[in-house]
Amino acid sequence: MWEISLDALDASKSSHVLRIERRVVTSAVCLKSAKPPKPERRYVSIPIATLDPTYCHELDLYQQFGEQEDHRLFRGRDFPLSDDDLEKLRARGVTRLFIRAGEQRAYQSYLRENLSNFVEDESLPATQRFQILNQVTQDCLQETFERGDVSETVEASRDMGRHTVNLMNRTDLVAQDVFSMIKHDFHTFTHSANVCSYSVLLAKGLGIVAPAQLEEIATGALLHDVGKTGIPYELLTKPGGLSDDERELIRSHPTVGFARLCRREKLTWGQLMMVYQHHERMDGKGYPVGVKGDEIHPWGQLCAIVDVFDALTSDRPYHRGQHITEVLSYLERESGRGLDSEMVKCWTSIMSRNC
Amino acid sequence: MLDVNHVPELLAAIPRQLELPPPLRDFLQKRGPMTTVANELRRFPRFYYPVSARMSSEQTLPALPRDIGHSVVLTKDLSRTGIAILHTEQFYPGEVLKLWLPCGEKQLLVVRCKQTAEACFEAAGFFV
Repeated sequence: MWEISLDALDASKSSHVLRIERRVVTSAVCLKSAKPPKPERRYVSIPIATLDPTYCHELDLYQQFGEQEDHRLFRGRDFPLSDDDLEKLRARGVTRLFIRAGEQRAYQSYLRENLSNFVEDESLPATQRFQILNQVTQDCLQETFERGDVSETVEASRDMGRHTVNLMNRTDLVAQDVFSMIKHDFHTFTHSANVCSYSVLLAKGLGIVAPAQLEEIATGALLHDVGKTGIPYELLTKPGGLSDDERELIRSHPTVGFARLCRREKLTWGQLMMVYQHHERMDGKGYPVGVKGDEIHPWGQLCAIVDVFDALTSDRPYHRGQHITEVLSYLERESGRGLDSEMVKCWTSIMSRNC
Repeated sequence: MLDVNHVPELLAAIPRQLELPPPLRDFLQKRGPMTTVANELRRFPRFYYPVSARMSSEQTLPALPRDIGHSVVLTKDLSRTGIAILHTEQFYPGEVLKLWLPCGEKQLLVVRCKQTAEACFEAAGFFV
């Protein structure tokens, strides 16, 4: 065989011999790299509850066997999934199938197109529908945030906001369901999806019942951190302390987000204020402007509370997520100082009643 | 450029409601280039520029159609590309203001705004 280890070379060999041996190793490397690259073997799990045989015929579906990464084709484009297959999978207790990572975009567009079927499917439990919606919302936000297309982000947020309100209005989802089903990690789009669900809960708790208004709040919440898309991911997840410049950059995200969205005809002032004012505080110690009290739009105040709540209950690279009771105590301490006392009272009552 | 002797005139021109906090009062006496920092990202130096100027709103935001009308602002500092102004009203990023400065008419695209006192907002932006 061509492979010769350099470690095996005797140090006493002449430089001439060493040169020859090195050349042999180089040839071996060249021969190795001449092989064709391995095909994409990464798989992404998807809940079978999101699969509708009528519409998902464009996807190759795989099943996982054993603990190892052993995925075998279950149904392909030429032999699509049937209702019967789904029944059998459910009977065997299989809840997830897999798709190739490269097909994720096709899956997401399939989900977006058929989301209302799932959200309105009364045969599925409300919690499962919420889980699907939450997953789709995160995927959509990730895709549009990463693509940097503001128009598409606004459109996707409006879609997702409408579905969220629709689901939360039609079903008996309580705060406990919402809290237990959302992810507690640090991605901006996960956080935005969480803040959206929490905002709708708080808005309903405050007596807002008009679906149109709830949808506006949900959309505003999904967009509240859109200004973070321009900030490097490494900085957003930096575990250590921040320099003044870094802090300044992170603190610019409400202004950047507002500037990106302020010319959109379809967004209301309240929604824009959720983006611009969610870091303002009632005592004037917030940013970017430092306004206080009534100068902060009510939706900005609402967004501030659920934003802090999600930030503190979720795991971040720079802190571990705190227990819900600790976070509620913190909010109560901030009540009347940085955060609106009535809204904090409403939020703690919603959360402590159900969680 | 106005010199220090014009400070009383400046103070008289400031809108009555505009409340200048003490640190900002000092800048009325200052002239020349502003000090910079080691990692300054601005391309052009800024100069102290305490003058009063007439202002009107040129373009508002679709979600906040408002008529600011004509009013007087106190300018703070100036560079080749932008200016900072002080006013009793809050301005929002994206709004365009028209300024009648001693050096001519300028349109200002507001980029940021900060409240420095109860009735004093410092807005800054680029000339467009």
